[in-house]
Amino acid sequence: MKNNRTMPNLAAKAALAVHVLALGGLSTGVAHAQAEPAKAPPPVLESEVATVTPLRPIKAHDLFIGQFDGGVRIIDGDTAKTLGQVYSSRYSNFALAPDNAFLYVAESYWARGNRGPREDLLSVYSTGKLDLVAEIKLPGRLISDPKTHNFHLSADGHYGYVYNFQPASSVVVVDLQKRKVVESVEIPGCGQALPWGARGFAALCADGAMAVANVDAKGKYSVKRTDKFFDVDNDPIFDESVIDRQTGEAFFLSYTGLIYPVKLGDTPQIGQPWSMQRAAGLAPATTKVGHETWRPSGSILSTYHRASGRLFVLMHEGMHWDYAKPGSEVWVLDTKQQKLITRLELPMAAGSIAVTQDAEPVLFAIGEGRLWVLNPDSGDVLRTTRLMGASLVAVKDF
Amino acid sequence: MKRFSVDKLSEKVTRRLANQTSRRSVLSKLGALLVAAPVFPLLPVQRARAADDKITETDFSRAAQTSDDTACNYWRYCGSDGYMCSCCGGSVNSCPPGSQPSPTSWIGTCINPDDGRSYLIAYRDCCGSSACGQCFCEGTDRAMPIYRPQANNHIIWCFGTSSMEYHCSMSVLVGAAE
Repeated sequence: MKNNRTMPNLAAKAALAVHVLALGGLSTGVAHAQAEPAKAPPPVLESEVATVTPLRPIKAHDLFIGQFDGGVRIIDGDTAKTLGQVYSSRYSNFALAPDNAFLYVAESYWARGNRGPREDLLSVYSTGKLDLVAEIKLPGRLISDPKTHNFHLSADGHYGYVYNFQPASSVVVVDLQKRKVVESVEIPGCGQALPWGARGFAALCADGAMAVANVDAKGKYSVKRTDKFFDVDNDPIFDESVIDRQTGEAFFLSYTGLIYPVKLGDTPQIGQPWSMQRAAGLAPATTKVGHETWRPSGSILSTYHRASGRLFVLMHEGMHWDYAKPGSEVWVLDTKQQKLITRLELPMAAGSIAVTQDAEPVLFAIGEGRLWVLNPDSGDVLRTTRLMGASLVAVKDF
Repeated sequence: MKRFSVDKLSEKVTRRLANQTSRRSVLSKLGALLVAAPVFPLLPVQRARAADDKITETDFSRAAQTSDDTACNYWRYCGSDGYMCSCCGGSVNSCPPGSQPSPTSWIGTCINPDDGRSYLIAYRDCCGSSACGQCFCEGTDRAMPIYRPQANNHIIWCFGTSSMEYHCSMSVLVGAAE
């Protein structure tokens, strides 16, 4: 109320000041008027009604960015401008529906901020207005720094998979059409959910194997495990490796830069790993102390362009176990030929990257307080804007 | 050198759980046990290395020091991630006032440059107060992805406390690893 009373007074004073200034301007204008006739004053500006900017349809070069303190922001890669944002809790995950109609946010709240009853839920936003259209209560979810594979959708967007850890490991399967939880599937000794097919998902395991979950004819899940196929103690696979949920294709990337090509499925096909460094004409990286070479590193450190089969990986020059350092280069690899296409030098070290899926893609790199939009062939900077980090990233059609 | 028997025991327990448990009830009971009984702060512990592997020096351990626990190269921080409690009013083994220690933790194995020995370090989060924001350190020696949670430092390890709000991380010395 106090503010309301003072505002008109301020407005009156401001109007008076403007009036005085206008009179002052008039006195000089009189002399000028002798040379040419006075112009008509400009029309009074019309009063306005505050409204909400509609969100245009999602485009190929739009980037969805999760922020560490909460919020999922959409940035137009063609202008580097922000289009809008939805609310989310800290440590939230999000996923964009395959038809781009909905944005799903997996998040957690406590009634009194840091305490009180806890609620885990899947919040459903329309991408038309970014308005909340539904909430699905979850039996739990892992609270951690956000990871891409902690929350996923099936290829057709019918099901959602929420990784839970309390501290028993399970995946909460959600029917997104009925908007209700179907089942919690235990995956002991394994973590996250890597979707394949209509309802299947896989998970990497603490012993270097992989768990595979699938439904039987009655729609009930069962879980089996593969043999161990990677050296988890010395050269683990990044939990941010690329999974293409549309095809079940995965590129499991190890700390030393081995790429395991995998086709997820009821019986996953695990291909022979190949060395990124060897593909680039260097000696493969080792786990030896003091071995400084180019190694994959970063937060969301790899991204895949499906149509061309190109894998982009953030790289830095350093030692084994330095896997979290930001990358100074992006290596572009042909996954079919298992060859290096090019090495792109970044304008600044970046922690996360994402490539769009269209025929003329752009490559996003995020680091040191900026978002860079790059040409993925040349590495040329197309545009840039300020941005405080990204916990997760997503693009249309991936 | 022979390893501690408690270490072997915990490894056996963990391996058995990982290999044989598929019923929610058992794991839930273990979870309840963890939450209810801080007398077993080391479960679920799986050694950061396989049974017969000797812990070797790393690039972190080569540059580590033992005198300043507010610097990120302090030897115990080889697998840390977050705000170090020593900069927040606490220490490497005590939570700052206003926060609570979680009975659960992730585990690292660090080499003390003074004696050359490897030690198990329990990275226990202090919870309940808002993020400390001081001395962010990320040591990634043998830190594992999220599918190996007992050695993962991205999980908010505030299980078993009254609040899941992360404040800072301690680096509590558990014992010699060899």
